[in-house]
Amino acid sequence: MDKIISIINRVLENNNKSYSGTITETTSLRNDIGFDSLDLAELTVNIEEEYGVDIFENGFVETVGDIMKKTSK
Amino acid sequence: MDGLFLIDIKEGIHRSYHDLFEDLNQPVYQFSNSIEYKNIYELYVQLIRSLILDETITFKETHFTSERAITFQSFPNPYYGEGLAYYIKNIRQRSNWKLQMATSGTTGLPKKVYHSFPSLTRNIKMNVHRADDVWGLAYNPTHMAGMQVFFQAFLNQNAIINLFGLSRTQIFSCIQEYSVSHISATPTFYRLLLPATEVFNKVKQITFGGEKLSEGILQNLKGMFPNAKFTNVYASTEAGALFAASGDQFTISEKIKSFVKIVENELWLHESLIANSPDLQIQDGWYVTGDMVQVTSWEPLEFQFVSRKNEMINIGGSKVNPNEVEELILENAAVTDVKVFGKPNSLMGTILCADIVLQQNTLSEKEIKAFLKERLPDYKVPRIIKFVPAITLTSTGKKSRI
Repeated sequence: MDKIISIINRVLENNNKSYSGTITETTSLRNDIGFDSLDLAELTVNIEEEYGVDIFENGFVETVGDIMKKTSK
Repeated sequence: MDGLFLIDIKEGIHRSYHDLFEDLNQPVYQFSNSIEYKNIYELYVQLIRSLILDETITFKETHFTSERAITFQSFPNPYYGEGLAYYIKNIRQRSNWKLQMATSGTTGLPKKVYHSFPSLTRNIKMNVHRADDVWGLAYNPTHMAGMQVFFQAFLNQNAIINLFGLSRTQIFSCIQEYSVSHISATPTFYRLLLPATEVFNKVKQITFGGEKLSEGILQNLKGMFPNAKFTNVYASTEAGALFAASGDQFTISEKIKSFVKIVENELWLHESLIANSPDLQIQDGWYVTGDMVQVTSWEPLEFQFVSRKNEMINIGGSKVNPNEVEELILENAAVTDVKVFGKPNSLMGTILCADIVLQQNTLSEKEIKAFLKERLPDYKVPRIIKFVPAITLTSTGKKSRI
């Protein structure tokens, strides 16, 4: 979880964005954090580098918890 | 619903065809042939005015506008009092009218192309069965695909619901509330609608262009839009929409059959299909598209798209010229070499990457992105930036972009 949060924060930081709330498993990447499609694509690449898993392969990622499920398989 | 014309929930726009007609009949004292896109309704009103006047028009973001303002005592409106149907019928007979647009350009600067009314509306279908269609607009309204949606809807007096730039939740509520029946969008737009948490029974047609949708995504979308027909189209700023396929097999309609040929697996289009442009290279009456195809049947002609011959990178449906981005990055004194390239990505089709060689470690990823974001639209800014000791070249001395 911590590692995923730090990847999310890095994508925010690199693109001069911020999220003031606390990131939990139910936090929505699009609705809460405000990631657009390009942000999500960047996140996918960074997660894949770390975990070797393409989280959007079947297009089912909405929350931070969804990423955790995909990366823990 | 009383002839709804345009909904934009972000801008709070709610206009009927009656409103549009009233606004078109307002006296106007000055008409500029260059439109700045600020408000989608104003954009359409000015576009329609240019059609009524039969005057060439340019979208301002294309950067090579030669502005010309026409001043009137009042707007010369020959159709006053005749009703909107009469307007539309007459608009279809425009002969001088041209729309100037920019293509992304394979090398260096964007090229300008002129579209005539027939070339823009070649594939527009008009008939009474389309009277109740409601279009979800999922493209930038000033781009080729967005214009096609506008004309398709406008010429049939259908409602346009602007979905471009909305969040997934907003898109869902718009599709539901306004009973959207037709959506034309990039594969990326559809991927972002997943997971399929809702079902939209009223959507009859889903059109996508550019890259392929994977079978898994397609199945999920079919669950979301169970009554929709799925169509893949080939379109470009140069040619407009030309061919359609239900899967990835493209067939050529009888009407344009003799204007299409395949030369060494590359698609060639006859110049009569292409927008008029001094910047496009035409060889003996044919435009060489750079789109590589695989022919699956010669008689009748059927093919699949394989790749692009040139270096253009397709990011979620928008074309990026890597040379343009590289030149900008090299404007930083600390950068000695750079390579911009595309990497396959499950969400965007391709994600834009840059390998950068620095003189000293004086620049951060964040600073480079901020520098580029001030100068380029978002999709042209590389998302994955790596600092490398050197850029490797191919055997022919070119930067390998794969």
